[in-house]
Amino acid sequence: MSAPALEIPQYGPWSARALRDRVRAESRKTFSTAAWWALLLPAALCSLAIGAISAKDGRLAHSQAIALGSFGVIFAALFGVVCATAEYRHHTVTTSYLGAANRPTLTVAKLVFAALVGGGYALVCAALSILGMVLRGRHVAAELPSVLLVTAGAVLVLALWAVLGVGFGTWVGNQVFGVLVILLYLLLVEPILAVLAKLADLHSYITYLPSGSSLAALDGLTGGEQFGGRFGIASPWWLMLLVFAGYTAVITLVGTGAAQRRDIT
Amino acid sequence: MSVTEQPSAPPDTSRPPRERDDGRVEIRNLSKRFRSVEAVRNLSFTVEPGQVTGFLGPNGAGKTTTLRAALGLVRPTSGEVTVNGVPYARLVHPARVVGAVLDSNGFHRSRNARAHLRAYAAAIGVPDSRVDEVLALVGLTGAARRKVGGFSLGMKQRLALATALLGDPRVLILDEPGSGLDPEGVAWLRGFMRSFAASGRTVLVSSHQLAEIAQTVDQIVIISRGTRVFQGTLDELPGERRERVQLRCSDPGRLVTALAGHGISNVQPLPDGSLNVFGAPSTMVGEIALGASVAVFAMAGQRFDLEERFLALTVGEYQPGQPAPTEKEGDR
Repeated sequence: MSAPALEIPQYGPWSARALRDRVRAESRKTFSTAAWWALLLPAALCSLAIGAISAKDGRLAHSQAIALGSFGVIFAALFGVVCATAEYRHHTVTTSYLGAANRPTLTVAKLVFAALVGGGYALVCAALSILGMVLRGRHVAAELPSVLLVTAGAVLVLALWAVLGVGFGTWVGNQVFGVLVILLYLLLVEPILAVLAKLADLHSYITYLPSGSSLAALDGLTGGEQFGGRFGIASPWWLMLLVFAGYTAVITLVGTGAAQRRDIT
Repeated sequence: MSVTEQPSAPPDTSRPPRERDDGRVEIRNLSKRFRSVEAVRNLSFTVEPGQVTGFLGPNGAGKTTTLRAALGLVRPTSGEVTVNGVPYARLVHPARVVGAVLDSNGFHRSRNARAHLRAYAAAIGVPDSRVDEVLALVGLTGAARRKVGGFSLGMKQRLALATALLGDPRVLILDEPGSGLDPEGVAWLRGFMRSFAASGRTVLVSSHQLAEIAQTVDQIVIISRGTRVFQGTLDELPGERRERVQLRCSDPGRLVTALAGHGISNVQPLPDGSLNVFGAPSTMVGEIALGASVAVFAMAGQRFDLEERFLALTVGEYQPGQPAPTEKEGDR
């Protein structure tokens, strides 16, 4: 071949340089298609609306937490699922694994990238919910510290949800199935469990479920108000965040293990 | 034929073998079972650098499974495949060693060709300038910013090849690359494979049609129902060699007589006045025509035995209710 031979690099597949390259590849994959903004747009608009509606009274940090904890979480999780399952849907997983024969290196790159995007979603949604409050004439500056605190917490929570989405998507592979399961779980399963638990006077346990723990973490950051009336006991926010991080870690490990054994045919 | 033993360093059982740089692909006792289907059974062969190796078999014979096992995409039930002496998954920079074209659908439809290549260039750590090089190499520069969803099958094949070449690999593995390419594309790909192998690199190309790759390959491996039935050169294929020479000449009658005098009686006159001569190479027919003072205007030799000999070795995926082919077709 006439082209000059490319030099084969000396670094290994787990080096920082290789990881950075792979994360950059994930970023190029994502930003060359529409899914990232198609999922961000509804989350951002809902945050704007919630910011505007709930700003009439009550604490701003509280409405901030509602906006990010509901719609932000859903769309960050969906982004993670889509980020992982698009590879199967479009059969690009073959090429991706050819370049990353050590499969966990690809998954880790997706986790890192999805965490960044999830955090980005949180910042955009937070900014728009604040915009909604400002448009309704609320004086945001007075409550800025608590609003920023919740925003910072939401960056972590949404980053973790996006990571969980990647882990779950890597696990199931099928995009439609993955998206449906996440939506059904967040919109139906846990809310129903929450209602049932409340009837049985067990509602404090709800904070130990995935969605419950992430919401409780945000709730704790607002100063322990009862998030959506669902929680009776306010555990420390960091404990709730750890519980949720535990779920994320387990699902991610299961997904990585499933991908390791999967035949790509 | 059998697995070549590597004249490597003295056996070191304590450490796994180190990656070499010879571009040799070794398939050792590979078996793969998908649930109830035994796709590949105890398959062994070696693909040498500097050659084009054709990997042949009817649909469903296990070609794709074997290639995907070689690329670490499918886990063997038993046996192993190594590239440069190690399993694909243990190659430190796999895309720099092996480029593979497996299917022409591995693209996000709404991503454009350049963005697709840029993503994979980043993933394997090659500079972005390489993207424009491979686009030019496969002739897709003009379509670089078009979405892949609007590509023809042939363009997707070219883009798949461009992706495979991003890492300037030492080994090229192509699974049925001819499908979807127009005749011009097929001719180009043949030339490409030849020059790739001529530069000392390895080419392994699969096909279910011998004719498609007969002009390109140095070695062929034929599998049927997951097991190897032949490895060697085309000339070593078992079975009767048969050639047909089609020619137009000044005096067909005299030539037929002259041919009969040399024991070549299987001659078929065609309605347009030309002749089909069976059972003799074109050089011999030409000599006889010269000896008989018959002017030959046009002559074309064709080997039509290859496909037949290939088919005799293999069993297709679907068996129609017919008796096995016998000699009945004869030297007609």
